[in-house]
Amino acid sequence: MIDLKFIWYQLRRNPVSLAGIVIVAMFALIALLAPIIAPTPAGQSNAYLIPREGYSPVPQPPSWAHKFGTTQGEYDIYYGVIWGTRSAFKVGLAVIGATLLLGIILGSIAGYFGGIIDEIIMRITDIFLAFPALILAMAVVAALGPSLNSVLIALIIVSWPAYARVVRGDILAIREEDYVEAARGVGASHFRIITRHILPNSIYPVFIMASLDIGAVVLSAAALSFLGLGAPEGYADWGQMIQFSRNWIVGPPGQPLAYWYTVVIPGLFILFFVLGWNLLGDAFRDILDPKLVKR
Amino acid sequence: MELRAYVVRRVLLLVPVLFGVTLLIFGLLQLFTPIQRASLYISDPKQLANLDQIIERYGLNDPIWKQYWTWLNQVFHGNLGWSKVASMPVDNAIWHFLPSTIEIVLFAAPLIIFGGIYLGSKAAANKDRTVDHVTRVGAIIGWSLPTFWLGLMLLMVFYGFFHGLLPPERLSTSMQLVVTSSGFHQYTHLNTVDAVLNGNIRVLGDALRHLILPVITISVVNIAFIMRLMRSSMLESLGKGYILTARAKGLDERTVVNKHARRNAMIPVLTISGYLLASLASGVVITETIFNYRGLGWLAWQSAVRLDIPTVLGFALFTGVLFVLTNLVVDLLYARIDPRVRLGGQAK
Amino acid sequence: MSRKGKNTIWFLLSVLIILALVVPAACAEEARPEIKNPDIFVEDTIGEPDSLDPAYAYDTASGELIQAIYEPLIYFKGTSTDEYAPVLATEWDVSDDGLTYRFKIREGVKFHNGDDLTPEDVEYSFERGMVQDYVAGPQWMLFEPLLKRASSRGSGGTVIPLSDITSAVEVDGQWVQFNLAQKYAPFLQILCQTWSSIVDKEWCIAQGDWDGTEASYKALNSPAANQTPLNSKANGTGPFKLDSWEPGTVTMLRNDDYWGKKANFSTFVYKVVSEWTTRKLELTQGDCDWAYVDRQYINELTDEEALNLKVYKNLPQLRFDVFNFTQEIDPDSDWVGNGKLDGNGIPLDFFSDKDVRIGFNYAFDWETYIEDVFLGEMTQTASPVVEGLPYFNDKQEMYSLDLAKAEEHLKAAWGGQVWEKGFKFTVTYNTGNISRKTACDILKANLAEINPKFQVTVRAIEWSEFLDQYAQSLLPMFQIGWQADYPDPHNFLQPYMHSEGVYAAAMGYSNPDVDALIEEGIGADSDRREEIYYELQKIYHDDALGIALGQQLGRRYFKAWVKGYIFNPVDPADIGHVYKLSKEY
Repeated sequence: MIDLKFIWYQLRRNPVSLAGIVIVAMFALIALLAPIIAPTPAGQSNAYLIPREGYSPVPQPPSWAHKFGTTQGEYDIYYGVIWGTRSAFKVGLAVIGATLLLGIILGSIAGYFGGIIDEIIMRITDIFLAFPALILAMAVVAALGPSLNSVLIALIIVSWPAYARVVRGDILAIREEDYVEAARGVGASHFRIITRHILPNSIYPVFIMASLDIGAVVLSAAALSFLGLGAPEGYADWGQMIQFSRNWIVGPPGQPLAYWYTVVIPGLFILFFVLGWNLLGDAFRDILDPKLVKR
Repeated sequence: MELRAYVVRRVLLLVPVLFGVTLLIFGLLQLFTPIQRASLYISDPKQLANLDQIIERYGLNDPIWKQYWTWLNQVFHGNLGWSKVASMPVDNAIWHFLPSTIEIVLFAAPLIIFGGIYLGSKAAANKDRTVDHVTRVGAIIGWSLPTFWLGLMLLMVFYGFFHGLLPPERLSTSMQLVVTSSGFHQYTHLNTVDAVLNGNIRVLGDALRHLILPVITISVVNIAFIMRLMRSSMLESLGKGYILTARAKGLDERTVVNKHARRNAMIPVLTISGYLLASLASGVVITETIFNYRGLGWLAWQSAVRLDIPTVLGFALFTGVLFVLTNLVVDLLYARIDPRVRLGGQAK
Repeated sequence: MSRKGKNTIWFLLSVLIILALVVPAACAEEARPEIKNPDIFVEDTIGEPDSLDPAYAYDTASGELIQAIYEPLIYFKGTSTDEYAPVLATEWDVSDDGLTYRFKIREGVKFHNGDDLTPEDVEYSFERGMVQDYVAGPQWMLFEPLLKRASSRGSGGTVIPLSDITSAVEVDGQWVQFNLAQKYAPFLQILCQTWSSIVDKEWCIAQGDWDGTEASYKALNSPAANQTPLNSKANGTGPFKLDSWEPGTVTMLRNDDYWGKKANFSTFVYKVVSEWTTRKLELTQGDCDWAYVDRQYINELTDEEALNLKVYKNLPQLRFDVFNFTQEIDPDSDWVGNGKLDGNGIPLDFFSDKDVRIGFNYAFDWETYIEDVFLGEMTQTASPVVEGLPYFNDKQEMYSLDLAKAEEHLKAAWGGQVWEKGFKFTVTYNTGNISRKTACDILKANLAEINPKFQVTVRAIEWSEFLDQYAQSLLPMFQIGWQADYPDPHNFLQPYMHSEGVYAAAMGYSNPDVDALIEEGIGADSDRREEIYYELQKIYHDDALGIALGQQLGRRYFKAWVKGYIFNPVDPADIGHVYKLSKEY
């Protein structure tokens, strides 16, 4: 099914997708090399806490000591964005992995069997989707304390219903197709039908959604931090760093862009990270769609 | 299955869903101690001297089932409780804050949906040509932008740099006083609509001016999303068998795209409309916070942060009803567009 | 014309129409230092008012509004905190034994609805407050002097007899008399504040408030949050009347029948803008006349002339911040490590040893804290008695950063075990409060420097959780602030040092000598009070009940066209007495 030559051909045809792969690879490299390119100061046990030089509330511009400058409270931006890459990967991959799993399992059961099972599962997704997402997130964070893990759990709880519904919707459309009928006629088990025939033909929208979603998940986590619900102050998380910069977006009059580095740098990291994943999602779409192979 | 029976059944399902939502909230309440919930009533640590009395007064120590029953009783008597966040009864609060949000959504939704669908099908029909690449890159960047970052940047440029050209909030102070004065009749509490109905051009101009940035902020991300989805599902449906047939039959490309491909491509878009609603809901919270636009998003957020449970419950009921009905409409549209789907389909 | 062409034309047309509507509106408001909205005063702040009921409201945001709409009998004169000017009372006297206060009520004053002010209104105002006695409200400040108790409710859910309340305040012709149950030096100060505002008896009864009967008393006592008849309606004698209260905006109109000097502008708008950037831009653009400026952003507004601002600095606010030690930590605490003095935790009574507390005090760096967090605008104090309060001892010794002395005391603590074994615990702060976090970070860093075995972890928790933990004495150390209810040392010392004080109780501090001094101080004569309060300040320092962080100095940011502002340390946090201001160059 996966033909390497074909993949290379597709990538060459589509330089934009190539860009996506390169960007994500670069971020992965940064994340892996974080302890080397932004070493944690000695004596600090938790590497995710951004070291602070002093306590001044005013951001300092980039200098030799602090390559990207400092935020309010003198947290080093460079350290924060480098280690923030790790946090971003953690959040993105964990949430997407879990929601994909939950969504595919429950969605295919609902879509395939229909009837009462479908009703029950759909009503459960209704309840979760009718639940205001932020409030749920808040409740989880309040119960577990402001940390990246609470954000993870909150996002998983909030995201899986959408996936289940999409999978179910696609399966509903495919279920009546001829080859499914044929498989049933031959006497294949439900499980086999689902995994060998239905899922492979219906799963691509979900994977596309998932690959697009990694970026969205990172954005949601950043939004939660921005609203004060996510990682605590001083934690290496891009959303948290934008929260720090929130009130420095317009500098002193006459120099409106005086504190640009507090906003722009973490913002660019988020932008490019998400951009990379979205481009990657496109690449997946082009590669994995069997109908396109035929063309 | 008969259409009417189906609709009735789905509407009746509102009941268990609403119970489910509110029970879930009460369940989450178990995670909070009575003192934490009492923090809603305490604005200053001085008031801590009477903590026990406060807990006693609001029954925060009662068993969960008792609290739920009290609340349920209240609701059946038409009383949703008092919203501390809004300083008014909860039902008033929801009606009060609804217009602000509706106004933003009213302007944003057509922009998002039509813009997204149009751009998406254009890109798919012109796959790999310049139009496709340009819109694709634009959409990807748009979709990758953090909403709050975009909002703050827009404010910085258009309010800070350009000296108040496009300000935050719903209306400027002087127009606000005009709107609340006795000479101006607030029919819908939507400033733009009311301004038209009252024939007041200045208020209309002012309201529009204040709407531009919030609408742009919330639309960018969503247009990009719809566009992407529309494009990929259009491409999928363009590759389908019936398209080849249509082309073979000699139909012109325009008809093929618009009548056949687009119709089928809209199915996933419809499914996503539920997701879109949720995305709009969260986008609205951030947008309302940044631009100080007091709408439902702001209310939901404040009540969640401050543990204003009556407001949270009232709000959950409202969104619950809204969501279930919206989903019903979507499913009905689904059935109409895709004849393969049978409502409430059973496995054969 | 092709369909595409037509679409384009429609699109361009609609853009043009929108521009035509928007641009003129935008051009109309260019940034020139011309006074914007000269007849409207706009205040941009961050506090949402809780209630407009004077007997119920306890927060500063509500206080700001109540001060504009209602009036008390007397108020502080100018910037003084112990001299009074007549407001609704024209003269007053205090009996020699300090138990009877009489006020002559001003004649010719009308409420906003036209009713006349009578002494019965005054009597009713205080009685209804005590009848209502909201559970988290300010009534305790009237119960203490008048009835020598904390509230109307006793144990078992009973209320005191109505006659007790009604006999505390009585009418005698044009005079109103207060009968105190104990000599109470700060009583006049309490009468200046918003909870002593005068309401209109007939109007209140018409709104469903207490009608004088026993039955009504029982029905209205201890109301649920915001369920009092005067919560969202107002009818006072003040220079402004309430026009509307929408969430986030309160609009008040000038009272043209005001008995005193009328306000200089027709409308007063109180707006809540929580987003700093928006607030700042509104201030710089002149869309508001006063804005609340958080301390960390003052550097963005340094060029006052270019921004057309008038900034009042170094205002001695009556506010005290401290880092408390809990001497008896509750066993359920998650923050004490393994609860033993073996280097991996702290015992529950860790802070009951004075050497530990003093050692921690010497480990705190006030200079850095004040410079970096408050940009120099904070004064260190030795105790809760801050500058501006009577009987403040400016010569009281204070702690300062001295790692050598800290080491000395920590070596002596718990018989040397602290130094040998070290300790480990977690200090928490409420999420979002950067200054509190910094104080934690400073302490942690310095302790580690003295001895690497001193391990402190800093953690953020939600405000509601913080309250929860604090109330159950689960926090080993916690930071808390106190804003004056009235300008007297009793108001500050009682919560922190009296065993029944709200903070001392949570800390597990109890010293019968201190209790006796505090109880004596409330009614003693001036010389004795000075002795007592000097003694108490010394005890606070010597016993190191907490790390006294200090007194924040305030700033107020007005547009340059606002004149007439006078700062009194007891004013609510924002402006206070807005009607005295005017907008002119």
